[in-house]
Amino acid sequence: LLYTIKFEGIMMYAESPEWSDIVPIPLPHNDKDPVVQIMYSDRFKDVYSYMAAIMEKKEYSHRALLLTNDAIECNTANYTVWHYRREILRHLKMDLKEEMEFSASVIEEQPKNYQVWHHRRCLIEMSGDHSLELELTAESLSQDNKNYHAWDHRQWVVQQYNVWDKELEYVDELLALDLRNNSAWNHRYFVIENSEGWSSETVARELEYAASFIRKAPNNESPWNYANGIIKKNKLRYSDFPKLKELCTSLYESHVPSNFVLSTLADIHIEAENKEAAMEIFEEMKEKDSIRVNYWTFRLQQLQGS
Amino acid sequence: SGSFQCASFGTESDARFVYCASCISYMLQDWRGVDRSLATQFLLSCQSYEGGFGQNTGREAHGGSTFCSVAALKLMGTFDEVMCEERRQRVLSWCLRRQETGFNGRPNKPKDTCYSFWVGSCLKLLGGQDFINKEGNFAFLMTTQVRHVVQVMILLPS
Repeated sequence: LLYTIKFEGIMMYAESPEWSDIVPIPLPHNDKDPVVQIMYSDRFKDVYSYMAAIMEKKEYSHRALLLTNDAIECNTANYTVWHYRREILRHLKMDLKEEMEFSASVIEEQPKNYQVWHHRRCLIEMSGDHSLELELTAESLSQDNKNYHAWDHRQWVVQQYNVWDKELEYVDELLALDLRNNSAWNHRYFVIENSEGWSSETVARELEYAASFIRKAPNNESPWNYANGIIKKNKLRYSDFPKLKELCTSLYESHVPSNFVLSTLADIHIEAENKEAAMEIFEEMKEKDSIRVNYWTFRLQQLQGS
Repeated sequence: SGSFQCASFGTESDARFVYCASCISYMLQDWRGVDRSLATQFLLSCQSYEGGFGQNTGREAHGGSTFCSVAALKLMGTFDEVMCEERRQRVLSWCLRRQETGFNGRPNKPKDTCYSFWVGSCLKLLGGQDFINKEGNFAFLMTTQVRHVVQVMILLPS
């Protein structure tokens, strides 16, 4: 039985006959007179005084594994306990299937905990079995579609095990649900960068992909960062992709209020060495994007001086 | 890879700990624990297409990791050497776009007071502090301050 059964009252390790051989090491462990004393609960002190004793003794047993369940519940961020738990699993040569379920349940309860995600990564590295991860991360992302840990884990799995083929479709699904999901846009860039690469056909296709979302919501920063990012990161020239300028110009002429239209147009003009046109836009941005007035003033002065 | 974990037995590795290692080494004026060249290359690889920095290569640009990366490069003394004008402009403008009144940490995410620190400090390191709208930032921060005394009742079992 891997998991503790919860009684109505909590079992104190100090009162358990199964643990009578262990001398607990009381909290705090390192300091007789701590400057800032944490108000540990009785339960916390009980669990961790036994955890400390077991780790001191280097006992890697089944009861020690159950103890780490309690220690993790008391403080899920204690990475020393998580590491010790992995050592127990290793020593006991345990089948990791139940451990994968355990990690999934902790992820469900605490999806922003660093240690459990790292633990899961270690389990996958131990077993080589990454078959559940796309579903796990998709489930986590269905509850919080920008969870940084979930995206990190998904990207690690996809890259480590070369499982790129479903990812663009997954991004499509997420953007259909929320075209402002910046994490999904980032994932798209990551996938293409590491699978098909940025050939001129791919660049053209992806710029059009971004454009289609820009038309739906011209003030959405994400596809603008994506389009401009493709050009800049790959040291391309706006002049090689005239459709982007056409899009900006048509949105500008339709008086669509978007600071991204303006700033992209300005960058296009600067590349084309059309200083006057860029300066006019910066002048306009001082009013239209007034939060950043000092920055647009600076950009304007930069051009005036050059 | 150039990145850092936070414990010797093996933990996750990312820009946060590169920053921590840089702070410690800087304070001690002892860089024997950090391969600055490798760490610098790692951090540069974290600058995404957006211009900000993610926690790892390929990860989404984020206000926290952008601060960690820029600050670490400054502490290591490699910032000027590797952050060419183009890279600097890209991170600067990404940071400036985080401001609405307060700052968010990623595009299309809500603002949070912590990013006034992460992004605000980063902008100072980049020399862009005058581009911040100080009134907007201050006004937002003031809305988050609890100004009334909270009365708490503790019920003890009899």
